[in-house]
Amino acid sequence: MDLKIIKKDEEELHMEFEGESHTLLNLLRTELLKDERVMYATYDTKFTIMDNPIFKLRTRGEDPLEIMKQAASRITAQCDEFLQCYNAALG
Amino acid sequence: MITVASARVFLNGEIVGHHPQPEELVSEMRRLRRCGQISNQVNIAFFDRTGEIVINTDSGRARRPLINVERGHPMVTEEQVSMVERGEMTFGDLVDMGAIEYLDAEEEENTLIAIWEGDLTSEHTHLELDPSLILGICTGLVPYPEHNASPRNTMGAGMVKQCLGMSMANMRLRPDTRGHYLHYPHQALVRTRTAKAIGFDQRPAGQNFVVAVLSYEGYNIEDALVMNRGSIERGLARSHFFRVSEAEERKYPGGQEDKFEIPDLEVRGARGSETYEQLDDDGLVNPNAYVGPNDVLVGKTSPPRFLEEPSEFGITPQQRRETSVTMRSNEKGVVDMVILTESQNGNRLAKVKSRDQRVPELGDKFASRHGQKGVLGLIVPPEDMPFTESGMVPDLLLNPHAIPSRMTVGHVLEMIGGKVGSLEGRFVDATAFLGETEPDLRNALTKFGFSHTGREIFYFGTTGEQVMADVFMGVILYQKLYHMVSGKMHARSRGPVQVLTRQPTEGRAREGGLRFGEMERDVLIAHGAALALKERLVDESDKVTELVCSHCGVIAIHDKRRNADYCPVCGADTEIYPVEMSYAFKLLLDEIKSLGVAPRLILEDAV
Amino acid sequence: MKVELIELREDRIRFLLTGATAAFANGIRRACMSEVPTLAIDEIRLYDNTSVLFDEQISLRLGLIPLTAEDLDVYSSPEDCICEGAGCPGCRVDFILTAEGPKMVYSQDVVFTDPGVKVAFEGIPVVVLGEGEKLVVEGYATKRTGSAHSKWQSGTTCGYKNLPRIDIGDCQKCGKCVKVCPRDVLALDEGDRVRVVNLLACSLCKLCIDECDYQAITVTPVPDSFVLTIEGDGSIKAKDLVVKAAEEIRHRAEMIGEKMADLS
Repeated sequence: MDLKIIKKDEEELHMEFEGESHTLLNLLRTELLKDERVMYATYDTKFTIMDNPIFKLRTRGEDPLEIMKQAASRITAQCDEFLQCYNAALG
Repeated sequence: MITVASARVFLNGEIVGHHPQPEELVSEMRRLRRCGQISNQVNIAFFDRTGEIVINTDSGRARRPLINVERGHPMVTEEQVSMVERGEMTFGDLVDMGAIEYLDAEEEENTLIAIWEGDLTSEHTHLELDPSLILGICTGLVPYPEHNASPRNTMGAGMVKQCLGMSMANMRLRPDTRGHYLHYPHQALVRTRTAKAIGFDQRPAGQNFVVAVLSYEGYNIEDALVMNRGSIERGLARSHFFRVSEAEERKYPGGQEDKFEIPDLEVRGARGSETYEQLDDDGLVNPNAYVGPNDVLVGKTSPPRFLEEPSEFGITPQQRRETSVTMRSNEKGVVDMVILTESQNGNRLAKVKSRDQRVPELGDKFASRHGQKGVLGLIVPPEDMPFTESGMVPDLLLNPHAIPSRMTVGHVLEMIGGKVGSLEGRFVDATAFLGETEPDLRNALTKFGFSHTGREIFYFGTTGEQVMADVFMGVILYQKLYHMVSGKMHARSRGPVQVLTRQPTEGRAREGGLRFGEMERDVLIAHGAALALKERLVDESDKVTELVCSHCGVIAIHDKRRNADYCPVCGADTEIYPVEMSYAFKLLLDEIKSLGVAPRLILEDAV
Repeated sequence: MKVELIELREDRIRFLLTGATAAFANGIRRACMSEVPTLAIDEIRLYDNTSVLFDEQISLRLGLIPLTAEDLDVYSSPEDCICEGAGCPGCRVDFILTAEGPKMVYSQDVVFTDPGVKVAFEGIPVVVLGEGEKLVVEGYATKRTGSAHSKWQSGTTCGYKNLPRIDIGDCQKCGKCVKVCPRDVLALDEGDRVRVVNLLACSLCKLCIDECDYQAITVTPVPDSFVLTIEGDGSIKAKDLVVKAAEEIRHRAEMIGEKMADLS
């Protein structure tokens, strides 16, 4: 995964991802939208065969990097919880 | 309608006389034909309204067989049909007996044909052998044609002729100039009896695709198609294209001849030594060599042409010319086969067959058998494709807008039929008027746990959410047509020009330009874009600056050695001006001059 | 979150996942398909091919053969390898294939130099060789993910559906819904109301709702519960595939967290 910050200010963050697809980005977007401090979170790819997806996040007065970090850690927590339940179910 | 007393009689288009009792003549001739006294290749028709009897016996007419009906009863009995099935009688015997006759288009005008035996009345003259015989060979390959609007059947039949497949079993041995070969052809799951009769299964030409009818992000608008990248990468619709290039060692009068060899560097027109690296010592390229555009396939030199201009030193050079055969400028490939043989004249002949793998790419044309053609608009990774609960993803996404206005219900039925065929592991009969019925197919779907509507619940591959409407999915034979984008893509900024007119050449093979035609000219006129027009027609085409004598109006000459201009009519003293014109105009002046008419240009001040 | 196992086979697993978002279930599904790496034959050199198939066809067929490794982690993908893509035993597994007709060349004829790497299934036909026809191939396999090419897809058929919820209301016992259901989800006993006998088989097609004249049945998807079906190509056991998929997502999310922390 490669990450390039295109725009960053106090409330808004635009990032270009390389080597990532809907697998991670949709999960990230869904997790961010659960947070009330997020005004909008979305990602789009101009032309799927040629361009990289660009992720845009805007918060309500919070540091977008911090919000991202928290969303990412919630995702890792979900994965951990899933693996725990899964391994338990399979015995 | 007026019954003319005496009818004119035409034999193969020529009038041969007239007859007072036309109807009797016609029925007597038909009776003679049916009992074998006249050849059964003769067809007679009587046109009441125009009072003509037309008799045709020439070759090349399309005729079709029909069962004779007399007084409401067919002349072929059930017993005879079983005898033919058992082999005790042949179809030809029935024709000789007059029970079945071949009618051409003109004689068919005099008939009243019943399709089913139950419909026969005393008025009917003939009975169809099988309703699917109303259609010809290519239309007979279209499944469920009676459910399609007729123009779509016509288009489907046309495209069946353009599809790639396995056309010859000995393709690897034959040197055809161009050939195509589909890697994994399928026998059609939904088939017709005509297909069986022509042996379509031995030479299949298409693949059974899993198709879902769903819009996808606007990439399948206007008949475009969206395909699954996973399917393509596993070999779906993959094909090879072959081309055979030929070279002959011609012999010229006077004993000189061409020679296959690696041209010497001193030969006129020789390219650098790297271009000949792939050639073997005999001048022929080795098999399995990668050849790109303009690469040399057969190195060949030819003797010098007799009409040679002396060079600067005054000696006429006796250099051989390089006339190697090269790959076309827009093709590449791998050399598959090299043949060295003898032509009919006894000259050495070399044939080089190159193959190029064509993986489906954006722009390649595909079609179903129902006139639903389309060009590949997007190739989607398999995880982005919509999926069902079992994880199945379609190979192709067809836009729903393609169906309602075209009314190709046969396409929709074939999708259900193909789904049933793949679930039950059998072929589905979709012959015209005789195919498996819709209720039967839908009930079969239910047996396998699918909804009888053919629709399934899908989830978006990108977001994971459920697609709000159920999506129709089925299995249908799709064909790859030979219009592939690699054979069509063409660009030119500047390039070769024709010798005569100095205008850009025509055609992709000659690196030509696209014609800016009369209607395009009208468009620029309508916009008032005068300089844009001038740019298109003169500056970007055949602009030339010619010197014109203002006195006499003919084209003047510039003498390079003395660096002076002079007019051939008036001498060196007149005022000579350069004028921009198109070379085609100068050519027009030359042609008028050749008629002995003097076209004089009257010059005015430049604006 | 809860996971309940429905069916486990060597190559396929079905389980019920509750308390997750569609994005998470889809993430697991997609990671199984395109983010879990596996080995596949990548480049070959054909020394002799007199078979009926072209070189390009043979190379596609060899590339699509699923491969399994005792320890996949020994190998790195070409981008991550220490040789930086030049090619070394750390990122390439060499193999040879030699065959002479008349016989059918099968997948088990592919022999790797690493004894830990084998084809996942024997008996996959590659090409049939006639009398005197030969096939001599040498090449190597690399480790990549399905996002590069489908031959590296570890999970081939992966899907899910929302867990259905069927509520029977004021049933008039006409039995029409039972008849129309293509999956035998419902049953009607003598004198009883219609009841659900096979909830997991329901495909949410809602034909029963259309059939019912009394609006007595409702079928709704449970938004946070999914029945996942994960089937692999044989390179990894299906149950391990899901674990690797979740670990891969976790790893990516962790990397984002780290990058955000670096930038703060």
